[in-house]
Amino acid sequence: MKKTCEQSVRLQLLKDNALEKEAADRVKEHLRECEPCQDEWDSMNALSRVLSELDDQEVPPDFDRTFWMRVDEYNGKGLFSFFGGRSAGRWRIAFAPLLAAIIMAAGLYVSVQTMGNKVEELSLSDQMDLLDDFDVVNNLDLLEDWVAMNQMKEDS
Amino acid sequence: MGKDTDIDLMLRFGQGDETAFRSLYMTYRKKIINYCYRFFFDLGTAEELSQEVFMRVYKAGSRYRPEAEFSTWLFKIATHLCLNELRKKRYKNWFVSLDSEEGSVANQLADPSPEILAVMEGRERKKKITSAIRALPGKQRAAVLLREYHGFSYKEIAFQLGQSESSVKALIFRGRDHLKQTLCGEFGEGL
Ligand SMILES: [Zn+2]
Repeated sequence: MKKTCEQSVRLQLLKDNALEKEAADRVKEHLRECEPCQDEWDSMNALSRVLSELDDQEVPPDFDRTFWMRVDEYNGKGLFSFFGGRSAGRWRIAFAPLLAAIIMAAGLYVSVQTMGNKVEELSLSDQMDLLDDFDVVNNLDLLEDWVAMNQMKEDS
Repeated sequence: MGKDTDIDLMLRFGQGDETAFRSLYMTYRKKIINYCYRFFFDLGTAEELSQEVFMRVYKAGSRYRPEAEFSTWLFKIATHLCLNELRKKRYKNWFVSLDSEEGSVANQLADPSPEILAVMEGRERKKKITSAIRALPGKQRAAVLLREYHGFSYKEIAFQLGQSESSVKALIFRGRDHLKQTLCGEFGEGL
């Protein structure tokens, strides 16, 4: 059975540089004359030595390539990522209404072309999904206008 | 490169300077990979998590506010991702045997040379250290790794784990104690 000393808890603080200079000096002083603390101190250092036997892993060969591909994807080199990427904050605001307008125009065009027959197919929920994808939900007022326009058309 | 510069680099990246991010990435990627690796001892998992760590830094961009040293903040992200992953993996780990791939080589060789014996002994040692670390509960594991391999202070680890400094002291104390108990039977050497 190992002998213990109540001071030994302070050894960890000494090892981890968590003591002020004065307190550290007191613990070092005690360490010089206390055998159980010396054992504990050696044991802590032995553990660090053992742990350091695990070598560092090298960066896997594909790591960088995969990472920068993910960054590119996020940054808008993919088709849809443009609207979710780093540049999105700056561009989304400018492009969102334009995009919504294009969708509205397309919707209107289709509805006119089909004389209203097929307008149901291009239902509101489809439009919502599309808008969601492009993160234009902030522009709900435009969408509501579009709904109102269709409503008026139907009424007439 | 001083640590303050890392914050500057991150702030510059926030203003659109991509090379600043590249520089941070190059400085820290190996450290983060090794931190994640020693959490799970699985290179695939370490790779995935490390990529996610740097993606989060990248996405933080201009929203980044220096509330700690950059490296402390970076390892906080890694710690959270590792602890999360551990939660997901926990049940799997109960069934994974560390002895599955190697170990039997010694038995297959009737008369291994001293060199081979030394290599095998080294491997055996590493395997034992590995399983001792893997046996630590998540927060103890994180605290010990952050302290022993990356030299973070109690205060920094407290920030990374979202715990008080006194809990961190206790976590490290218990973690080391666990490791000593597991390893002293195998290693002796005054543990
Ligand atoms: Zn003592």
